[in-house]
Amino acid sequence: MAITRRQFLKRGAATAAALTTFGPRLRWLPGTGVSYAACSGDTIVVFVQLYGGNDGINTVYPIGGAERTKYETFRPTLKLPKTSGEFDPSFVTTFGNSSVLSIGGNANGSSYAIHPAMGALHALYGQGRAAVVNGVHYPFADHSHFRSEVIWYTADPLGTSGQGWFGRFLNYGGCFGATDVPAVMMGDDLNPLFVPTQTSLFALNRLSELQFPADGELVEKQSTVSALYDASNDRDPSLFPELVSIGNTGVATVSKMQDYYKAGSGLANAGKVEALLLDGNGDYDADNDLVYASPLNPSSNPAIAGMDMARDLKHVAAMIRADVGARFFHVATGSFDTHSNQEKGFYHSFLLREVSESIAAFYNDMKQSVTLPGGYGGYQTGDLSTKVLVVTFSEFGRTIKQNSINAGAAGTDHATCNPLFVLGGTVVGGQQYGSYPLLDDPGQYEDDLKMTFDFRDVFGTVLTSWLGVPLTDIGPGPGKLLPATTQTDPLGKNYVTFTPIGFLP
Amino acid sequence: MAVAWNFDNAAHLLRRAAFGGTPAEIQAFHDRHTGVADAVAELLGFRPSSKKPPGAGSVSAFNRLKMQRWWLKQMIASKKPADAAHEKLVLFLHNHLVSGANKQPNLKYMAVQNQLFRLNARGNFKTLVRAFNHDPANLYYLDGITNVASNDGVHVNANENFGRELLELFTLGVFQLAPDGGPDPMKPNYTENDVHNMARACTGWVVVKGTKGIFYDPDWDGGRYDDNGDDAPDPMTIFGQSSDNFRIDGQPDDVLDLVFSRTDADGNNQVSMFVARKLWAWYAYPPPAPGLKGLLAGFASIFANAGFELTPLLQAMLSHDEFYSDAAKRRRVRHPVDFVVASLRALGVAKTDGKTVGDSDREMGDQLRIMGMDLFQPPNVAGWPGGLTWINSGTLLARLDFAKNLAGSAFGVHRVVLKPILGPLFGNAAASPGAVVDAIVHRLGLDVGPLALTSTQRTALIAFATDNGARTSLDVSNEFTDDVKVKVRGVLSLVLQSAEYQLL
Repeated sequence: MAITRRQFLKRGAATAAALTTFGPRLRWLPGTGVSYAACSGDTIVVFVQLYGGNDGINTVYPIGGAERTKYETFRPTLKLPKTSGEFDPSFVTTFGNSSVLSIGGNANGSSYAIHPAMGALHALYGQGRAAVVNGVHYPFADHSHFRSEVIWYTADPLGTSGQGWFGRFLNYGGCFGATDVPAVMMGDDLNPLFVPTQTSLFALNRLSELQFPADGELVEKQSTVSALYDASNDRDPSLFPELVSIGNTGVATVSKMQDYYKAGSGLANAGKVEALLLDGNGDYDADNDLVYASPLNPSSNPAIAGMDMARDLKHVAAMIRADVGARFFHVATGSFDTHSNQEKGFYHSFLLREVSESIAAFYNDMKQSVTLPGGYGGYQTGDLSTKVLVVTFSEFGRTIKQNSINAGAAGTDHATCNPLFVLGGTVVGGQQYGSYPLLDDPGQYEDDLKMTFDFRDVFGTVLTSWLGVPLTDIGPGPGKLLPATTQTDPLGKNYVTFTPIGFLP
Repeated sequence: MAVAWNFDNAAHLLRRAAFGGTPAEIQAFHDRHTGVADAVAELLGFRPSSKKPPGAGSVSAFNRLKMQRWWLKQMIASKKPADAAHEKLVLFLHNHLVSGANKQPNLKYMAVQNQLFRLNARGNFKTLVRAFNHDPANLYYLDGITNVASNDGVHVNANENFGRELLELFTLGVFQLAPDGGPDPMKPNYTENDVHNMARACTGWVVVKGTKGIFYDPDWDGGRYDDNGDDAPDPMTIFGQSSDNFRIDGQPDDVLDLVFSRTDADGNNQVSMFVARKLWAWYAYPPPAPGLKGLLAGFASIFANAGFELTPLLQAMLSHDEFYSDAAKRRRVRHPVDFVVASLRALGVAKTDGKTVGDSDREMGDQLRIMGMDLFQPPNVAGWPGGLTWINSGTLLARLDFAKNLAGSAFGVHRVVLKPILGPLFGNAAASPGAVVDAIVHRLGLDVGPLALTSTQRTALIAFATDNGARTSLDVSNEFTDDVKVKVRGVLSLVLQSAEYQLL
């Protein structure tokens, strides 16, 4: 029965919570079922997805050395500037930047910069808060958006496991009950990264989507519909997997909704999360400022005005500060599928600026201590930046060569690896990890980069060094959190051992 | 084993292949036929219409809403079950050969594409794909208009967007099928080289503004055969066959013929396997399932032997034992359009303006967007993935909201009249709450089959209707008593909100 299981898990969580006196980095206690820091800890992960396949070669690009020469050959019109003098004047006017955002030399001997529209993220890099992980992908290159997304979500290079790698973590060790809501994704649908899972998940574009239809007999109706869902999730999951899942979502939604959103006016009638998003009139709107001073407020930080990702991360900040149980988040923007017109009207530049400004504003909100108006209690108001890890990813990078000689129409097609950005938490920033792939040393296909890091090393680093999963449970292998590759890949490699990357200690 | 032709199976067929109906409509449909084959033939006997949605101008949400209103009218107000079946098939095609409004210079191209689907809904799939290749909405959506191979072979490639999706999403799929109908990652259907050359074979189509023209322009295929700029055709190889002159549109070397003749390791026609799988997932249940590949192979051979005519394939699927099995009846999640349209039809709403329902301040098209299904604007070229991706906290509450508004709708074009729902109970000032609950559950088809509400759920509904047993009867003597407004319409809303009703 669902109730019994919930009660059991609550007891389990309480036991584990008592162990946190040993510190948040607690790893593992032999002989206990719910011993991970992840169960009781307060570490948070925010995944930032760039839908459509981001052109990584124009996100972190060469500015000096042999790689620069090749870059200029392969990208005759899409190349980004290596000196201030090379900037397009209208870019400078539009983006207010004419500086090359250097991140210095790479192990491959050439030097690199971050896209010039990403000044805010570059500043965090300079402060040692953000790092670049070069050349991350998976073996057995696949140029399909949808196959590649599945592979990234499942961490299975063959894309056959069907279970999101983070969903496996959520199911792992009994940390979360069926109607807990540990993860929230800001989007239209449940991101497969988190599913299927035995726990419930929230997905929403705006908190106001969580308005329970409040019409007559509200309380009774709410308890009745909850009872209906509770009966659905008691069905046999092997025969009725969809029904059980909808039942769980229903119970969780109805029970947690009021923490998030109450459709009232004024603090007393607002949900705990919603209360942070109320304006002076007690109204809530997606574009409002937060009730406290924050770089996520469009009125005080015009750079993020109108950016969907900044709006979504403002909601994430509100959920984190409201401390309602959600610790894992997903935000996304796109489309990065720049087959044509990649920089026509600075299309790709605008997208990257949105990512950069939004993430930086979010990080700087987490970094500050906030002062809430009177009457607000039970919120996390301190500096949370060391608790919050941000990881970016995209399903694949794009071809080394641009696909049209025409400067207006030029774009790039589907390819392989990308540089990822990691920031916040205990990230050792201000540096690049790994050798940037060489532009004339293609991988499995002639126009693809050869990867430096297997993505399982990135995910495994997050699981072990950030979420406290013991090394013995990481894998790769059957029953482990990371799937194994059962055969040698086309480049003759075989992933047999997880190797942590140094961006998290 | 012949499929039992009874009310429940007639209801199942209408729910899946059309948009359901009232019990009286289901009964009449059942009584018109002696067996399942005739009944399916009726549904597939629609006359493909050349109607075109009123799409024009900018692709704003406002203009899109007008088109959505029009399409919802077709779906809700189709009197004949066959016309509703037609609409469901057009919706399938919209979700299979995908284009979206967001990349169109003018919304009219989405309207033209919808008309293309209407005309070909039960016709020849190969003919449809051939027409889709130079459908303007597709040319804009998948960059066909900028797919111009240059003769500077150093820097450039053909734009692979359409060439790739043609193989991956529209015809072959990335992999052959494993025995359970899932992908077999050891058996790819094509190589990256095939994709690249397919893109080259698709060059040359242009949309000329002002002349309404879409045509093949040899200047725009420039260098298609000429990778090295020497002004001589270069052969390209697709699926191991070489030609100097592959083209997608027939003359002289038809690359589409190559695609449609691909077979898998077991000799099944691969396009047929792929299309059969997609239709099975749309009408019956989602792969994988034990032994599914064998079942699909039977359908695929019918499809291939019929020269890719859709009608014989659909006739075989919708008449098959497995389509009426418990396995098929318990796992299909309603998509939002079905949730909205079938609910209106089941409750006897036969006329519509396609706009708002009940007290909602949002049009249906807009509510569908919040439920995750913005018609004419799928999330990406793979369409709506369906299944459990429809259901999350935000979209579920949007469904709850619609249910509340529909159940409470006592006035206007979308009014729900209770008399035919309650039947002989109506007019009784002291009706049995259990009987009222049962009548509503029956009306929405959750009284029989694997998705029938459990006794626990029935008890919960009766507890709501009786204020936890504080009362023993309901006054349903007319449409507007307090009991009707709060309890009867409340039960109706709750059943529409149940997890079971989100399946069909």
